[in-house]
Amino acid sequence: MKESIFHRLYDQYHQDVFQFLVYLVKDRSTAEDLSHEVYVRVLKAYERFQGRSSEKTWLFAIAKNVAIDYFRKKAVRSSRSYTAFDWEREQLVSPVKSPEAFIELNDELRHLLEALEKCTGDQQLVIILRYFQELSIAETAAILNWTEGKVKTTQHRAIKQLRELLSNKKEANQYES
Amino acid sequence: MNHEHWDEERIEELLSKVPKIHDTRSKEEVLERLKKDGVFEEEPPKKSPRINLLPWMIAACAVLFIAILIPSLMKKDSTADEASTANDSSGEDMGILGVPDNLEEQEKFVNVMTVGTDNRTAVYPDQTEGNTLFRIGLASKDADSIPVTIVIPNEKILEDFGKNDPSQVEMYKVYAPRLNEQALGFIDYHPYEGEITEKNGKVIHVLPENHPYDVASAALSTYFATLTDTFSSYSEVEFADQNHQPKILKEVGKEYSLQITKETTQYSYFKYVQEDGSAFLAPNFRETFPNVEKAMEALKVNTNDVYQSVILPNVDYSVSVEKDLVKITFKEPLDLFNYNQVEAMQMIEGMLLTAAGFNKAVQFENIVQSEWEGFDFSKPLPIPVGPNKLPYTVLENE
Repeated sequence: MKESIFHRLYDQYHQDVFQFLVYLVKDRSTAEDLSHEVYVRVLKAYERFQGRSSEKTWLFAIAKNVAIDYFRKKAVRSSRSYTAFDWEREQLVSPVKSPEAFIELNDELRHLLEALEKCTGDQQLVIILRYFQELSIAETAAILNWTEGKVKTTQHRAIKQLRELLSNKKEANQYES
Repeated sequence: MNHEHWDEERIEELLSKVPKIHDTRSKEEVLERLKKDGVFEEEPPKKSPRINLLPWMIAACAVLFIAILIPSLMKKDSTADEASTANDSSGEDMGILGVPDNLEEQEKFVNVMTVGTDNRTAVYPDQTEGNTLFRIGLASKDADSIPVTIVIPNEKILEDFGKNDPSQVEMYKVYAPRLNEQALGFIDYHPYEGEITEKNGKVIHVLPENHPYDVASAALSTYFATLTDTFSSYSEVEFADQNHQPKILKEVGKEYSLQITKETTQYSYFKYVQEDGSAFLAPNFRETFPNVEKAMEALKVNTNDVYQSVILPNVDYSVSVEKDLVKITFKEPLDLFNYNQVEAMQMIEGMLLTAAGFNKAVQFENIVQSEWEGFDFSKPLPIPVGPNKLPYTVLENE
């Protein structure tokens, strides 16, 4: 029973969930571990899934939680003085600076992705879900357990933040040269 | 390359063009890893039924009760001081049980240990849909009552009663004789001798002449505790003789009725472990508290050898209350995967059940996981509707 659920979920969503995780953690091997954890949680909880949300948004919501738990654990280990990890306000800093998939990108895209890493956790998630995963505002709201209004506002602020970060970088480059 | 003009439109256009990244592993590889972790294995049975246990007499319980409890009470102050030491030693036990020292290995260990099991033991509101709850206090060998909640599908209720909403007394009369308490590791205690009836929201126990419920003070404690757990939805239990006149219990010495009020059921929940290792969450010898702050603080301290604190080793927390919400803030970030998962669940549920006695929900702060075992820690957790869930099948053990 569980195995047939796995096959169906894999066929429909695996590559999407994997990409979501890779863009969040910037590391293929970590994304593999986390996608494994997503299946463990999903298959364990599948009986409790009552179809109140769509299967797709439920799966992404679990993937989001798995990723946030990963960042939380990392924050606990790297800082003894850590008191609370607020993923919405803090950056989700990955351990790898140059993921292999980014190397072949043109400068423009690479700078954009580097700037995205400087955005807050909630901004990163909204950008990844809305643009990279091409999910609707309603789907993104369901995954993040937000209102659609909050998704729109966060998306708007994220784009603005990216523009500021990239413009500042351009100015800094001009100053250096 | 155009770096000159970073307007928002251009940013959005570029964001839509990020390359697709694929998992290069095969489906079989992903599946194999899940199989290796036991994700597809069937859940192991939670309890192993026990057989041929000698029925214990209530008076024997009284002796055991006195032997265990009195020395514990006499050294209450010193045990309070030793509570943290006791917690420390249970942490060491985890090592003895073979949990790896290395953090990464521990995570793998607990993940493997928890795959395919649901460690939650209480009943939550979402589990009541389509079911009716039958509550009963089972007599433990330590002269107390352990409250359990049996979840009965509504179709069984309809089959057994011909209606949808039997009272707890009606359910008691039908289900108590069917319950094989010894198979669950408890004393063969139910159904009560005499007759149980109800009138005007009160339970009336018509007792026979030579009933066993007041042969010793511990026997009376067990009796009152089981009545309180079994008829928690009623306000009072009256005792009557065969002529329906008030019955005076010897150990009480005067006319008396057992009040079941909010105040008399505000407990803190501790762990009770049976000989076969089955654990239940239960009040600590019926100790009650005037407010939830005190009940939550009391969870930290072992006061006797029968009930153990559910608080994990070296974990501390503060308690604050706002209206119907109890906020538990752990002083250090709490990574639940660093602990034995069953013990971690006992702590979380011990707190939820304690708060439930005050009709309050719990919001946890400073837990590393955002979700765990079906709990979403980003919001207040649901208030459990009963402790120690048992399936309907326990009523089919006769």
